Amino acid sequence: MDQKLDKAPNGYIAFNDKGIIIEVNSTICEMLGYSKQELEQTKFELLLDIAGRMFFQTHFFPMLKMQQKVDEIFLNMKAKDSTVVPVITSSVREENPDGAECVCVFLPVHNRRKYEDEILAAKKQAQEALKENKELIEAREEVSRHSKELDKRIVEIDRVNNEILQFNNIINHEMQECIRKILLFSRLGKKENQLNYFDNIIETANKLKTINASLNLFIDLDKDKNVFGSVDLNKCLDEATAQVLEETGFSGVEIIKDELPEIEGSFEDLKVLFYHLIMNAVKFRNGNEVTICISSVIFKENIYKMISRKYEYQDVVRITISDNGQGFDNKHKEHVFAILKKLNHEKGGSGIGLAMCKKILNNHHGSISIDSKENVGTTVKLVLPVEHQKDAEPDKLKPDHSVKT
Amino acid sequence: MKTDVLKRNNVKITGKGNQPMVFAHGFGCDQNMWRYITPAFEDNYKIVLFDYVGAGNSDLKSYDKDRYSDLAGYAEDILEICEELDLKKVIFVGHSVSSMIGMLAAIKSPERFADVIMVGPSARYINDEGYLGGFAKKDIIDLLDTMEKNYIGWANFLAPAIMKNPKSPELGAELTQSFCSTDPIIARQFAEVTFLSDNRGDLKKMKTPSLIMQCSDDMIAPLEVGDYLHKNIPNSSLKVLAATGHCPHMSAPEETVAVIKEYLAMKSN
Repeated sequence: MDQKLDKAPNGYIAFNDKGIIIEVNSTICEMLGYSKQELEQTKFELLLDIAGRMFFQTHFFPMLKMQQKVDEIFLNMKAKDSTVVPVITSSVREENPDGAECVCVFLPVHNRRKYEDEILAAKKQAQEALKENKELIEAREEVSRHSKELDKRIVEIDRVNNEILQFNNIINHEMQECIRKILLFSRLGKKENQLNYFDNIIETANKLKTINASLNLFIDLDKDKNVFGSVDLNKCLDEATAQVLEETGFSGVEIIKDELPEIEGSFEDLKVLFYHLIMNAVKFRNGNEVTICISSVIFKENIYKMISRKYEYQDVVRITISDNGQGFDNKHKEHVFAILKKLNHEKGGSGIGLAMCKKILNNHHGSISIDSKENVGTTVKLVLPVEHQKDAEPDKLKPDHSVKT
Repeated sequence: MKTDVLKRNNVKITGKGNQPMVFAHGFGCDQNMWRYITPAFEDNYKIVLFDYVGAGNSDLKSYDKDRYSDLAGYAEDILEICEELDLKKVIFVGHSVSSMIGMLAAIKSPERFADVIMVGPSARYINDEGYLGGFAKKDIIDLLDTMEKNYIGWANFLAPAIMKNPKSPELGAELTQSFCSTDPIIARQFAEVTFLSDNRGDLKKMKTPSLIMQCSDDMIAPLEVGDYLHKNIPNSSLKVLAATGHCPHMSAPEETVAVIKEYLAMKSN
């Protein structure tokens, strides 16, 4: 080695791409208290503190490899006696026929570091003061609480508007149609003095009664929606399945199920949800048996659904329920959640089931989606928050949503 | 207003194939770090490269400290890119913390992913009872301190200058062209989110097949971590590389390419 480089006022180390030291000068040896023999053929990384090694791996080496040089990097080196030597280093990398060589020079910066430490300490203190400002913290928490509440409200208003539209539709078409028929049959009966029109009148009145009962069921879901507690979804599902089996007397159901988690919600409503989903799988089975696979996974999702650029993550569980039944044309995947919507008019039922499922999910701040393929089967995906955050001042903010019936 | 995902994440698409390979850079760098790897796959795959918000040429204005306060937010970026480009059967290749980010994305939307290839992954960096991550909490705090010292000039000087002073092109150009340029404030938060993360509880949820590429001497992800991951991620393969260090895709690209190719060939048989 050149005498001048060996005794230069800066430390000098050359290492290869594997980080093995090839050459050092006397200055660096003095700086760190090692002999040349001790340093050569060891790993450069080992001369740094742990944070320095991490920085070397994640920043220094990638930069050096890609731009062939790195300037003005601050690192802590570790001397043989374990004292810390703060240094500034600049490095260049050169590709040679017999492998690449990274050449680094080091300047100790004891005093400069003290100065920087002071600057950083002052900066941190200012940041901490800001962070610990009580009024600011409270104001921020309040904004966050209200934003979350607002977000839920927007989702809810959306849902209520949609329901009103559907109710309107039902009143104006389905119910109106029943009333029209009853009037027609009554007039005909009176005019022709025929008693057999009574059968038509009774049948239509019963239909009207069913529609009314369905709508009431649907509306009732809102009444006790805030009675939330810890729900064991396994128990909930088992009870719902038992109810379906008892009501249908059908026993050809095979359920393959993962262990489901415990979540916060309304046990009764979630049981209604599972009841309708299992009932649909049983009702629209292919042949005499049906296999239902139920799996679940927990992941994090943004709590904000409507307000853009707001983020807070919460654990949600996605429950996937797949059957091998008749299925339906997937173009109806959105329509099936409409109130009183029925794709299959031969099978019994009111057409309220999936609409209720959707509402139950809404009340739990979750979502439901469905995908189906004719003669292959149907997959329902439910996403439910595992826990619910307390609302902001619930008494003041919550108007009475329940519809008086 | 819809976010332009491709601009936000500086998405670049190359390659002649149909099946997508999405390459995700790790902490401390940007998409350029894959430059020694991607040419080997260009003939047979569609190569998708991107920068996380805050790194490379991503849109810094899109940074949101709440969104990126959790690896879930970074996973969201990946899912949004996949959705925007309508990618299916994705082979995801993630370096370092991106391995876990890719895993979170695959847990949330398994239908999009064919494989997750993890280069130097770790489920948790800080040691815990019965778990060796390689670091004590103090080491991580020291790292943040080292980063801060290295950015002391940047944080108050250069970074705001690029954002606020478009009239000074020579300054902006130098930084944006320099590889691995990251915004210092964002890099610090990314470091915190990365090194304080704990994804051990998520490993068993992984359904997508995965390859764990473990370097033989990597202080950021020690051998024990690779074993732990392999033991706890269902359907995973473990390959210990001869390469050392935390960046085999840069220090040993030939071996890295060969191992990925071998895994993909085994999968297609």
